[in-house]
Amino acid sequence: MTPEPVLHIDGLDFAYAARPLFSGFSAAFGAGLTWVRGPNGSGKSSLLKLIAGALRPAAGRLAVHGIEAAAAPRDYRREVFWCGPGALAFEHLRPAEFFGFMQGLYPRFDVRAVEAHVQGFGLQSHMGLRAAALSSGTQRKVWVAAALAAGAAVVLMDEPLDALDAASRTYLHGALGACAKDAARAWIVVSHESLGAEADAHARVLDLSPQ
Amino acid sequence: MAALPLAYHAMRLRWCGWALLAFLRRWGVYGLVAVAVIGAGAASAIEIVSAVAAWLVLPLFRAAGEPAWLLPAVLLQSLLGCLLVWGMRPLLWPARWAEAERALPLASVDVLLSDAIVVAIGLVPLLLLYAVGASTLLIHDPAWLRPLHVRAVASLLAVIAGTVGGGVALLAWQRRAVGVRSVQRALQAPIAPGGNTFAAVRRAHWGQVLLAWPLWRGPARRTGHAMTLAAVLLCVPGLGLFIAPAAASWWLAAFAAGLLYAVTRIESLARADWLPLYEACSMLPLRPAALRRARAGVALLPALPGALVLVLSLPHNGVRRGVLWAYAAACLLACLAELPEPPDDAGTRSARWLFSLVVLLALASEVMA
Repeated sequence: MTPEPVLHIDGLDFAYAARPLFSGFSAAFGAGLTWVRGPNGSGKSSLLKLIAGALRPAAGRLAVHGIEAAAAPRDYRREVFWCGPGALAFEHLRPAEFFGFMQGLYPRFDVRAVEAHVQGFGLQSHMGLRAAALSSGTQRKVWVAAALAAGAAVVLMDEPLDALDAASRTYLHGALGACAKDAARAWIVVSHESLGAEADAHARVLDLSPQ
Repeated sequence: MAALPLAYHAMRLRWCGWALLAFLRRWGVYGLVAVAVIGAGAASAIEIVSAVAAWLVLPLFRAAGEPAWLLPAVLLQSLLGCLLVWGMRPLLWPARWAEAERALPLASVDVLLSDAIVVAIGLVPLLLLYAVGASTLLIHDPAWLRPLHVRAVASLLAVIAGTVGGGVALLAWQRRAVGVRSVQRALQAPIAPGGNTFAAVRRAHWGQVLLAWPLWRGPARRTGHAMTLAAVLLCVPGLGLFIAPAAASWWLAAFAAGLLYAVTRIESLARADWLPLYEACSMLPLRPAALRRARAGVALLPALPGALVLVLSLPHNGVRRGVLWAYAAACLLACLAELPEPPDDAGTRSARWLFSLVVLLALASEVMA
């Protein structure tokens, strides 16, 4: 029996002026890892923002485990965690405060998991600094650590490997390998580079290259 | 590691505290100088503050006795507070959070409540001034106010409610507008041309790329807006001089003060707006001095139309030509002094600014015989 998809997208429309990006786009994302690929400008980041609710589609239906984004936006967002491609928002918070903020918003946020990821990414010495004082790579690690521990049904990561040092990349490759075998949650990752041997082998690929 | 849950309100309050500290570190010295100047000229600084605060609520209390004027007065006074909120909006809610916030499971009521809390906190100094002003008037209790106590206090409460409500509405509007603007920016992204793409490549002068385009394409749009506004407003004293030459000294003083403020403000905006661009250009074969001069030109350019209108409006008779030249030279020197590279510390800047203002106002009052 095929497992029920976690995230449903039906008839999604979104356009940047004269540049339509998605027209009637439909997809179903099951548990495990989905690797979104495609050339620059093909709409990978926009797709993640649309799923996250950071961008509003012109039309279409998004639902996680039957919770519709349009009907119950807050419940839907509780099930979707977005790790964007840029600097960490809320730059005045220290990493521990940022994790605490996320813990208050996401009901299944796993504090023990975040502690493990802090160790894994070597963030211990940065925990007392405000995000604004952290390098872009360290900010990325904080956001990715929060994403890995969010406990949301759908976790979206946009270029999570960007700006990471070699040790952190190895750690994240391992974590993404585990995500690929997750039987409960959908992990959707946009990346131009390999997600690690294990993740690459198990991930489904969504290619947004123009046909 | 202790990751204690942090509520959205607490997160917003931490931001306000952090931003306020940064703001005070940067501008606090100006406040101290202003307090010192006010305090130096009075037997009691408290009396001065009370008098200034009383002036703030006086029109409202006067309008309390005129039913026809009460609503416009309440609205105008509320608008004053809303303008303050508009000026403080980066301290209350930075627009760059918009995208990340929209993706979070936040309840609308929590966002609204947080907006109300931070707006109310941001308005505390103004509300305190209102309270001091109202108390001053009620304690002195002039004859015209005696029958209006209840109505005056009620109208002040309406102003406070209107100000906070208006401030919250402004933040909510900004939150929505940021989303629209970000999509619109993407909408304006150039569409890949068909055919020979190299045909679209044109040689562009650095001045065009680094100076002109940023003013309307970004990242220096707000500098462009400030330049336009300054160019228009600095024409007002000249037009005023043409219409009412009897008050020439006042118009000249207004032009000098406006000019000094406009140049300082535009220079500060331009410095902030162009900084990332100039940092990105540090590896390019460009002379840094040329970029600096260009930025100085941006700060001075809006003064030209106003200066021209002022010169054309000057009356032919009664002008002390020597003092006029001194006034013009002082205006120019004061503006140039506001464009140092590297920038001076805040204390030096505020002292120089106040000194320039005093000299310009003194000269403006002596131009007419």
